[in-house]
Amino acid sequence: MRTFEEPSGIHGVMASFSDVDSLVSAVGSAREAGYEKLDAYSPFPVDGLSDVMDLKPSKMPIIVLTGALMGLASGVGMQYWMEVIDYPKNIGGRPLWSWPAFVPAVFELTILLGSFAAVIGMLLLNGLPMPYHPVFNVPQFRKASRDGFFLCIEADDPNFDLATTRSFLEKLNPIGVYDVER
Amino acid sequence: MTSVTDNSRPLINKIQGLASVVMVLGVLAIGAGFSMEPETIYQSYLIGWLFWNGIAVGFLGLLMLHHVVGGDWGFVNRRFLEAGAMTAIVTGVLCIPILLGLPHLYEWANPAKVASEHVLHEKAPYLNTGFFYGRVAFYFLFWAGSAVLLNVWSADVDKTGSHSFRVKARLLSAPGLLVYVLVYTFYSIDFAMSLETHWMSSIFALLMMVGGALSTLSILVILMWRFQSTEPLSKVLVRARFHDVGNLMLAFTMLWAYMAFSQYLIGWAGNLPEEAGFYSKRLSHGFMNVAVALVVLHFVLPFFLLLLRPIKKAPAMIAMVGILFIVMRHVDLWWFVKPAFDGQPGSHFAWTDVAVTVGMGGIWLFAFCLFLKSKLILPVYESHHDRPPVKHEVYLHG
Repeated sequence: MRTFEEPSGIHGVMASFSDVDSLVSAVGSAREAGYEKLDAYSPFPVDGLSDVMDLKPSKMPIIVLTGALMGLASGVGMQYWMEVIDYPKNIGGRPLWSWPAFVPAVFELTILLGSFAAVIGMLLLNGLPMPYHPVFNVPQFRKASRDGFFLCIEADDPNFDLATTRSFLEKLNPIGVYDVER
Repeated sequence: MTSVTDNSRPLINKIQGLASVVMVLGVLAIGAGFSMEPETIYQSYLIGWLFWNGIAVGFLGLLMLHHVVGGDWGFVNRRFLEAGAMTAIVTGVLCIPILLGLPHLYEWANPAKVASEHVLHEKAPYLNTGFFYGRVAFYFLFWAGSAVLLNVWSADVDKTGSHSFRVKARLLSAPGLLVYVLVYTFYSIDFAMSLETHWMSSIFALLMMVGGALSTLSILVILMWRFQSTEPLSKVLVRARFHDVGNLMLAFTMLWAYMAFSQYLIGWAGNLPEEAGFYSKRLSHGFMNVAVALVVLHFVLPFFLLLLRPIKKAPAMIAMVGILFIVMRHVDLWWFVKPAFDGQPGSHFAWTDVAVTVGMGGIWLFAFCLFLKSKLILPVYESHHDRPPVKHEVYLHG
């Protein structure tokens, strides 16, 4: 017979809600109670949810800008090297550095490397690919992709205590509260 | 029927009072200009008229677009869009001095020029005074007619809550947008491009449309900024709506830069007298500085400002960007019109170039306030998808 010891293998405590509004207000209450390491799950993007979660500003803009500027620099550098240094040619008597003609390629490279940075940066910041995540250990969590709204307070939050966090979540009028095993 | 507090009226009256002062000064300035140097004043007048007509017609385009695609940004601003579209009646009247003074502006309207220049003679079947008048009559019939219909129906639905409004508005707006783009194309060719009879560009009309839309959105965002503290708009003009309009401004400034550069690149690469000559006039002497200012202040600076979300969400900040766009739109039109008269009288900067536009702005704003006062400041009914219209929540609690 298996016996359960101290719940050392706990990812967090999860509460399930029936609708968007209770999820948003629950997240707000959890933030007010001082919980920081939490995540909310819903089947569709919820307007205003990230505001109540009080997320830190994303690093994405600076990553995309860096990628875009690299594209811009490579577009300018590549064409300058080709048209002025490596293989200069006389086209209709124009100067070698005829910048208007180079703008389209510079523009495209700026967009290209900016998009690469956006996709790769998004994957890295999201921690993807992620073949395993503890929240799926809760059978009810399946509903998160259909009609379920979930709030999970994670165990590495400084204020986390299995019993008190559990009773805190139970006060928020959830459908159910579940321990999430690691 | 509705007991909702509406204190936008005093603000509209205040703006209208200010507009009437500017209007009187503007009429005096236009009169003084006509008595002093007719060539200069015609050029100033055309710049000012193109500027304000672009805004009037721009409001109609946004209104039609809103009826077709929906969206909260259009619903909360619908009264602004409707009143703005109605001002096409006013710009139609303001067009009369241009129609009476065609030979002062357009060489194709000058019989001596047409007789001596082969190109003008060949283009005469299209570019002649009679046909021009007919086309202009059609443009304003379409613009003012659509604006009146959309306004009358919209005033009607406030009383009845009838489901048919949305259907009618869409049935007019969807094919209307198609006609709108065609009319805008010919309007741009007639009033702006035909100043340069030897020049050709197939993207120019779209460039005019995008530039006009940008100044329209700028006026809109300034109105939103002024009205966001008055009931009941304070409940709906939330930061997200400023963000929406800011995003549209960002899209349109990118489009403007894309098209303006495409037009330049093709002219530059082709290097033919008709196309390159257009730019060589506009990139020499003092006009070069204006061109650089356009690139920096009509695109680069506002582009980076509009990339920043905090700016788009701060009403006062985005209104400042709007003011920048409005000034630069005027500079853009000035830079297009003035060099067309290179070497002729009045082709340099004159005080009337600014005074007439500002004065005409007084007339436009006065009429705008008049139209704005004819209805409740926020539509009573909203309809989502194809469900029957429901009262907006502002009107439910009263």
